[in-house]
Amino acid sequence: MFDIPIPIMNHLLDFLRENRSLAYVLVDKDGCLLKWGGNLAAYGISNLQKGEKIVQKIFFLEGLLPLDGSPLFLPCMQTQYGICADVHVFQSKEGDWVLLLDATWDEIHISLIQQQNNNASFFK
Amino acid sequence: MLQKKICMVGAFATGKTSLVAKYVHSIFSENYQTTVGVKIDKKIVNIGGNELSLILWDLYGEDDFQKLRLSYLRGSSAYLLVVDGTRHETLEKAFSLQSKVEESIGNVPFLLVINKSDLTDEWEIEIEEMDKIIERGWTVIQTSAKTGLGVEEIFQNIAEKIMER
Repeated sequence: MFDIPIPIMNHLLDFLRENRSLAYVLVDKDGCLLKWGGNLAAYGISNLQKGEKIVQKIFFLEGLLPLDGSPLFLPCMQTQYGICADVHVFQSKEGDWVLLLDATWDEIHISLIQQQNNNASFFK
Repeated sequence: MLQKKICMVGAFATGKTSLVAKYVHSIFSENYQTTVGVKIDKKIVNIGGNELSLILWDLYGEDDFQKLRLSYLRGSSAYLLVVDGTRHETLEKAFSLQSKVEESIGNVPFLLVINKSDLTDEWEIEIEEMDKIIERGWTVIQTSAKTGLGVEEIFQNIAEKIMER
């Protein structure tokens, strides 16, 4: 494993915090909320309480937790709040971490390309 | 309240997003807008006097460039295989997707939804072909996201199948 200098780590963290609305929750194996932080409000998530069942607050986590080993990557997930997020789910000793990063820019640009491709398919 | 995840799966432009929009928001648009990634919605249904919250995962339509991402399927209790009745190739795509999905999440309930029944004059799927699919034990339901035909039925039917298990 290669070492990443601390200034780079700090820069990346600042970038993610400022440009990708970094937010996270930590959930125990019973699906109860342990910790949370970052810009959760950007994803329409608020009023969290320690110990509550996470799927009642963040309904898109239904069926995903607890993780059974391999980390999950769910790109471009749009909830009813309209914001598109890349969702990473991974394990630690404390529980399962759910990391949200704003993917609105990706969604807009991929959809432009995809739309053109699909429209072209109709005329083949 | 009990919650269950249901995935919408199918080729591109079969009407997956339109079916969800009609069911959840009672709206329909003629404009085709491709889905990138997955759109998630929620609707509460009543099954035998009990409320069930359906978490609907509307997955991007598979095409030559975007293959089905299996991580989206994790934890699904059921899925809807959506076909465009006016494009026979979307039925063939549904067969291959069904195998992939079953391999990934196992034998969970599903329905074959043949959409765009408001355009039956342009259909490329014959009644005999649908009968053969039904003979395989699959449930086939015709829908129109435009008129609303069959839309409530598919979600009610799949919710009942989930609760029967």
